[in-house]
Amino acid sequence: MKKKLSSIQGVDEECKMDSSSMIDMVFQLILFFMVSSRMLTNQIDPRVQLPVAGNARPPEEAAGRIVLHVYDDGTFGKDNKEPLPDMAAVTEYVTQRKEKIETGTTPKVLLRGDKRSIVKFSKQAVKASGDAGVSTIIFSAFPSAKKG
Amino acid sequence: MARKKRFEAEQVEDPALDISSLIDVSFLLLIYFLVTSTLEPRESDLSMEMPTDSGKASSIQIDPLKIRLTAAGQVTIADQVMADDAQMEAELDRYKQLTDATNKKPLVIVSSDDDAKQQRFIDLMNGLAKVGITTITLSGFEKGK
Repeated sequence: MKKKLSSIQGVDEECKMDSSSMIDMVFQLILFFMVSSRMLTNQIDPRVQLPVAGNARPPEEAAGRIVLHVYDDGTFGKDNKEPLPDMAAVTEYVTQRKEKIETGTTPKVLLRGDKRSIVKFSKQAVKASGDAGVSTIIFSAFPSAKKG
Repeated sequence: MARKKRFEAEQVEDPALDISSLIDVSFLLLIYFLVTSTLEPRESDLSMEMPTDSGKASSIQIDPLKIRLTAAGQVTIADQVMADDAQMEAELDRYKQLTDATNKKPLVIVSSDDDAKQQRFIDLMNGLAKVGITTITLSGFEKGK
């Protein structure tokens, strides 16, 4: 009645898990995340809460953009979040960035204005950009309100 | 002789590739993408051509539309107070159609109160972008600022 385990056919074969399908699945997931994730066109600063504009369009090209942050307290910041102390510094910053932009590319100021700030600061930024010779202003906005 | 036989027996083992480290790396990559990816809405553009009000006379003859934004967020178009954004967009659309019909480039002069909220200003820009007006002039700059 009793059978030795070793006598049952196939038991003495080495048990192995076939992990090839698992690798397939992992690679599929990696591919999904690589394809679905996107590179940032704009230098973002999480301190700036952007306003909402339903007719805002996705950015087409990153070239020629001079990022200017306008914080809710009326201060300004460079694309690398360095503060700009006054309007003369803003004009100088835009001028310097404009000079670095290749010829043939239209310089544009990307104004990332906080929705809690007042228009006065945006007007100051537009004026400083105009003084630096940049008249194209891109207002950054979310096309829909953030969830949560 | 016996030694030689043992050596031959070792050679017949099945060659197998250990893929466990490959799975480890793959899972690390997967975790990296899972952790770093965020579900943020994409930042979008409201592009406007904004020649500043320098006081120079323009050579192009156009009929500018004067828009005023008050500190309370009230929009006034050609001295007419807009009840809501829908009315504002309708008025802007009417102006755009008029300029299109007369082959003139629409030009809008926005005079905004300094204390108006940025979101309200963007609402106005949003309305202008909706009807296809991309050239505006901001006026009311304080001198020396």
